[in-house]
Amino acid sequence: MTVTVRTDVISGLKRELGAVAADAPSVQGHTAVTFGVPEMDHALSPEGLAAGSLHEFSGATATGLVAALAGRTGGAVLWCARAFDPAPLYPPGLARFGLDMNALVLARARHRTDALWVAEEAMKSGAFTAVILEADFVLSLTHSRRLQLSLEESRTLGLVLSSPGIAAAGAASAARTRWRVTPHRTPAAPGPQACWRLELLRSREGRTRTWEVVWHDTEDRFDLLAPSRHGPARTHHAA
Amino acid sequence: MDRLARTMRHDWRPGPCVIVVETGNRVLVAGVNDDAAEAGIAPGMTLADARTLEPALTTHPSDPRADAKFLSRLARWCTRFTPLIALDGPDSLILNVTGCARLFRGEDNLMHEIAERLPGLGVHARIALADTGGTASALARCGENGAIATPGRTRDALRDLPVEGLRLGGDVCATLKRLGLDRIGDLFPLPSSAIAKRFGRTSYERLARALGAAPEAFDYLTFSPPYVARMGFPEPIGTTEDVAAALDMLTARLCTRLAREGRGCRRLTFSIERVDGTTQTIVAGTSAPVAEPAHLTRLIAEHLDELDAGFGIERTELTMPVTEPRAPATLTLTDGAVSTGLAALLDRLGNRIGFDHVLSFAPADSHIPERAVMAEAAAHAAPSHHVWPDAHRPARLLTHPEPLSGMSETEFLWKGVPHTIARREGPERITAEWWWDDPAWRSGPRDYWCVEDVDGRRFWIYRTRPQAPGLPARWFLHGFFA
Repeated sequence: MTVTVRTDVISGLKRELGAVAADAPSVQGHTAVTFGVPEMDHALSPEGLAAGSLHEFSGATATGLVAALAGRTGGAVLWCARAFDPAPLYPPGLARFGLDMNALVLARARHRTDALWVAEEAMKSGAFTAVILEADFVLSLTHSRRLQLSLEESRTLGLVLSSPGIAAAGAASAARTRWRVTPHRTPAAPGPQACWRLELLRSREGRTRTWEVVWHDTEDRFDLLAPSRHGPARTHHAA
Repeated sequence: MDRLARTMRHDWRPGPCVIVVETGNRVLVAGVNDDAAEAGIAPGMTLADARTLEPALTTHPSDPRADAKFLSRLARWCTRFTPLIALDGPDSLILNVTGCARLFRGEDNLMHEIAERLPGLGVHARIALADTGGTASALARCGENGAIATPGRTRDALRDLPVEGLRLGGDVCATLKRLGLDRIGDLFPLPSSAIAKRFGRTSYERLARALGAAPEAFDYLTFSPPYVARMGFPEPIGTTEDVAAALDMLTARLCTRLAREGRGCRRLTFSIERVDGTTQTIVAGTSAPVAEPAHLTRLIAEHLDELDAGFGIERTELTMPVTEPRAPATLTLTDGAVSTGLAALLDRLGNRIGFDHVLSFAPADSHIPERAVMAEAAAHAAPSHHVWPDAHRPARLLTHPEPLSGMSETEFLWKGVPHTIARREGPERITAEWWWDDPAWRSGPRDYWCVEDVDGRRFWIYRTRPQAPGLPARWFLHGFFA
């Protein structure tokens, strides 16, 4: 049986699809992943976290934040975590941060060399729109430079999630932005899932800023914590 | 036409040893080794008789399937002598060496070579060469080992052999012997119609074929050549670039064949042979049949640095021990590049950190937190569109819940550090599944709370029922939100 392939028709359709896909919010072809909060996005250049570069988040409670940011790329995400982590990622809970669990691939690296290799290869390949590296080690300048270079080829969003103690060591890094993430009291109203205090420690613009951010898990969006709400913490017993 | 038949028997271990087969309620000896044969044990005896002759007898049950496998491997090995090899019963091979003998400088040398090489494989075989397959088979079974029948004198070669040589089956042989027809030669004067009538058509046909009076048909085995490509170098090579170039060429060669045959590689081995005679090997696997040279080369190339060239590499070899039929590629409207890129990447990650460490997730039908999610190797997982249940669950779940102490309305201690409770939500009661016995859940139902401390950290903690009346309830930390 001979199959005639109408190459012309197919390439025409591919072009059309490409045009349609360009409208879809995806990190590919876009310059940045936004928080969706104008105050924050305007403070960063380009608006939001630049695609094709590395962003470092340190803090023990940044898992949800990083997941939400990776989820905003709208594509496949690789999460490179430690093997035998006593507190591994829990997809049913992670799904609430807007990250599509069906598009998540978890790579469990046994040691640092493997973790860096996996992250670098995933960032280089362009098969993922975001790659998250969980680092329980000091990411040296060389490491971060290598990761940064591999990201530049593929325009992938690179996120590093490092333990708080590690970041305090303050090693030089090639990351485009560095953030410190600390937990923040959630407002009493039901609904918001998580609050963080985000300190932008370093950016190319040189401005350090602090925001108190809340993630609305029902609406899949970030918002700034209303200034009136963050007075002195009140002890509240729901039960 | 020259033919050669061999009967073979696999030799086992030192000491008298027999292979036994159970027929009805008797255990019969099916095969013996040299030591057992010396003790007077012969195939066909009952095991009880054999044990009387030699009490220190080791026995092995017969394994016809393994025997058949071994025989087909041996047949493959024999392709060095002739491409035409047929199975002859469960224990022998017929090699059609027509035209091949001259490659070995004559039939004598060919027989000599076979007889010399087989013991090296641990195979004790009886071999014979004759004009027809039937005669060779009879000679090998009942004649002198290594016998070569004079061309054109098949009748003479067969004349003095016992009738068992024709492989007629026990009852036919018994009938022939009762009639005094002990030797194959005794059948010659009988009219063929009488033989067919009295001893069955098979007997007549076997005899006619052995004598060359009827055509012999053989079901020759076909061997698909293994996926192996080799490259030797006139001057030893040493640099990674040279080895990579050799690898590229070898992969391209095998992939062309894979593409033509519609197959894909699942496992591949690249080995180098150094000047000093040592070999080094790189092994890689893929999650799906692959025939793209770039994909396969990359899996190996990543490990080229691990090879030590020493004083130089003389030979390289690429083998694909496992190949599978490949589904024809489907034309997709969206460019397939992204998905194949992902598959290739997952293969590479899997080869480095293990396929069971590159995971994708699916929701499972359970309300036990530990069992609500299934992880499977991402490389083998089909694209999924699962709907994840909307439950209030933590982003990280401790593999082993950690006990909390000093639990009160306002405070708890985790790892000795006090956390002041600012807010809590709950409880959510989760009961163990009675059909699933999980030791961790033997303490009964758990009441889960989401607790936020004054710093804003949110914990998922639970309380188990007191183990005995009067004892306090125990609290555990099971996960972290955010």
